[in-house]
Amino acid sequence: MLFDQILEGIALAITWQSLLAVIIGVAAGQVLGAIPGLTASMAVALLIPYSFYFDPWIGIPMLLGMFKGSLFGSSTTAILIRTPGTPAASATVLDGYPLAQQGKGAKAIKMALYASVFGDTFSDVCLIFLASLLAMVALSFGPAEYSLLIALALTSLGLLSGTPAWKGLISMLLGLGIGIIGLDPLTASERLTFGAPDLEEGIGLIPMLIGFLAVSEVFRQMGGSLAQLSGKAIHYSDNPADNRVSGKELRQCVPVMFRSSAIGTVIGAMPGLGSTVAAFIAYGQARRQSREPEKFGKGSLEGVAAPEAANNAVSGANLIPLLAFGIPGDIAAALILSAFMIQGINVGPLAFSESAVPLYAIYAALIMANLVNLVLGLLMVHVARFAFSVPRRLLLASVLVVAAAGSYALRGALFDVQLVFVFGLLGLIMMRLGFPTVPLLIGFILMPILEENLRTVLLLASTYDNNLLFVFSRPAFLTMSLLLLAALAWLFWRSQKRRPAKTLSDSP
Amino acid sequence: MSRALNAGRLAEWSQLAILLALLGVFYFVIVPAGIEDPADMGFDQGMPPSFSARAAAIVAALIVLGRMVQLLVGGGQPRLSQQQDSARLVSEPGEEAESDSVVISGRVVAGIAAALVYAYALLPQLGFVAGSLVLLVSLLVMLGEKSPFRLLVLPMLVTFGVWLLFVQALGVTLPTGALMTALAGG
Repeated sequence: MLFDQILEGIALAITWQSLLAVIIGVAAGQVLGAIPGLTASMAVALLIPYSFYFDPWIGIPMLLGMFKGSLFGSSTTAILIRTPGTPAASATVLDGYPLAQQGKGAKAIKMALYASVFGDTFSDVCLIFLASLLAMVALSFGPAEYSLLIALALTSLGLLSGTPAWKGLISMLLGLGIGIIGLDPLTASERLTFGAPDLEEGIGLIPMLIGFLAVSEVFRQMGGSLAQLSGKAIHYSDNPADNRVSGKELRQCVPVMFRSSAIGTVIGAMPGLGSTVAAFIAYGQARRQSREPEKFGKGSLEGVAAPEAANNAVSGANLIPLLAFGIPGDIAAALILSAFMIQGINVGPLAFSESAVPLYAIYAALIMANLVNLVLGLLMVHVARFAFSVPRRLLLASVLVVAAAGSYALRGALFDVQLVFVFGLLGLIMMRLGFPTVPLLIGFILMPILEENLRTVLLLASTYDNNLLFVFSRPAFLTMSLLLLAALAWLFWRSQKRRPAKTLSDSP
Repeated sequence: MSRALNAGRLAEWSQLAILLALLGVFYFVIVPAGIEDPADMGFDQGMPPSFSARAAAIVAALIVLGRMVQLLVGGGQPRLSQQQDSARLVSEPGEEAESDSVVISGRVVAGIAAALVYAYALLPQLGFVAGSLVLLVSLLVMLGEKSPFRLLVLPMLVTFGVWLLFVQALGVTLPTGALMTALAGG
C-alpha cells in the first residue's frame, strides 16, 4: 500500500514533461537569481502566477526547481560582484569574493554549487524521513493544538525576524489584520471592506506576495546610485586549475559540508531563524574547526562550502513544518505553500493519512530538481558572468511590467494590479522604518487557519460550560504548552546571554 | 551617549507613539465602522466577526506599551538589524553595502508615482501595451538611460515579450484600456 503510493508519487512527478519543467525552472531560477536586483523570493513570487496555467505536476516541480536554481544563482552574485542576491548569501561573500578577486571566481562558484546541492539533498532526505513521522504525531492534534502551534510559529517568526523584536511581532500582527479583510467565514458579514466589492473575496495572496517581495524591492533599488544601475563585466582566470575544484579540494570540504548541512537542517526546521543565521553559524563553525583558519576571509574554499551547504539545507528543512503541519516556517516555504494552495494541493497531517501520493511526488520532484541544479549549475558558471552585464535599470523597470501582468492574469482584475503597487509602497515604507515584511506575509497566509481553529476551540469550550481550560485536559496540548514554555525560556536566556549587540553609537 | 544613539531612541519613540495612536484609531474607529457584529452572537457560537481584529489590535498595543516600558527602564537599546549586521560584514570600510540602504530619494518618489499612475490611469485607459511602453520609457529616463536607441527598442522588446507570453502562449487577456477600445470602436 505504502510502496504503491510511493511508486505512484514518483510516477506522477517524474515524467518527461515535469523533467522539462524542472529544467526550465532551474535554468530560469539560476539566471534570474544571478541577475543583480532580482532576489530568489522576488523571482519566484513573480513567476507563481504563471505556474497556475500548467498542470499541477508540471507547475509545482517547475517552481521547486526555480527556487533551488535561484538560491544557487544568487550565490554567484555574492561571489563575483559581492552583491548577495539574498541575505542568506551574505556569508558566502566573505570568502567567495576574495577568490573571485584572485581570478578564481569559477572555482568558487563550482564549490558553492557542490555545497548547495549537497546541503539541499541532505535536508531533503531528512525531510522525507521526518515529515511523515511528525505528521503521525500531528494526527493527534485538535484545533487547540493547532491554534497553539500556529501562535508559536508566528511568535517565534516575529521575535526572530525583527531587530528590535517588537517590529517583527507588529509586522506579523499587521499581516493577520490584512488577512481579516473580506467576508467573515462564519457569519458571511463583511469585514473592513467598506462596501468595496473587490474586497469581498479578501486580499489576494498573489498581489500580497508580488507587492511586498518584488515591487517594494524595485522601489528600494531605485534609490541606488546611477553607477549601480549599470551592468558590470566579469573576467575569469586563464589558468584551468583556477576554474575547477579538484578531487582533493572537494574531499577536504566534505566534512564541512556534512556539519553545515546538519546545522542548516536543524535551524531550518524551526520557524523564524532562517537561512542567514544558519549560514553565519556554519561559517563560524567551519572556521573554528578548520586546519587552516587563517585562510578564512582571504579566499578559503571551506569558507564558501560551509555557508552554501547550510543555507541550502535550510530551504529543504523549512518544508518539514510545512508538509507535516501545514505551517510555513519562512518565506520560501510560504511561497511554495501559496503555489500548492493555488493548485489545490493539500499539505499537513491529513494529506499523509488520506492520500500521500502528492507528497511523494513532491519528494521526487525535490530530488530531481537537485540533480538538474547540479548539471545546469556547471553550465551556469560560464553564463553567470554575462548576466551581470545586463543593465539593472532595464530590469527594475521590466519587473514592474511583469508584476502588473502576473497579478492581472490570475483574476483579470485591475484592482489586483493596483494592490500590487500599493503593497509595494507599503513594503518600502516598512523597510525604511525597519519593519520586516516576511512575518507580515506569513501572518497573512496563516490568519484563516488560525481563526478557523480558534473558532472551533471556542465552540468546543461551550460544551465544557464555556471553560477554556478544558484544553489542558488534552495530553497533546499540555505537552506542547510545556515545550512552548521551554522555548520561551530558551529565547529569553539567549537574548540575555547574547554578546553585547552593536549599538547605533558604533555607527560612523 | 552619542548623538546617533539619541537619534535612534527618538526615532523609535516616535514610531511607537504613532503606532499606538494608529492602533487606537483602528480599534475605536475603523473596526466599529467596518465590522458589524450580530447583536445576539456570543463566544458559545464561535467568535464575533470583529473579535480577531480587536484581539490583534490589543496584542499589538500591549507589545508597543511593553517596548515603551523597556525603553523607559533602559533595558532595550536600539541596535543594528541582522541584515544591517551582515551587510556591514560584506562591505569594505567607507563603503555603503547595497542591501543596507533604504533611500527614499526624489528618483524613488518619481518611480513610485509613475508606477501608481500606470496602475490607476494608464492601464485602465491606454491598456497594457501602450501603458507599459509609457511606463518603461519614463522609468528608463528616470533611472539615467540616455541612449535614444535603447529608450526606443528596450521598452518595445519587454512589452512585446510579456504580451507574447501572456496573450499568445498562456491565452490570458491583458487590459485593453477604455480609451483604446473607444478609439478602435470609433
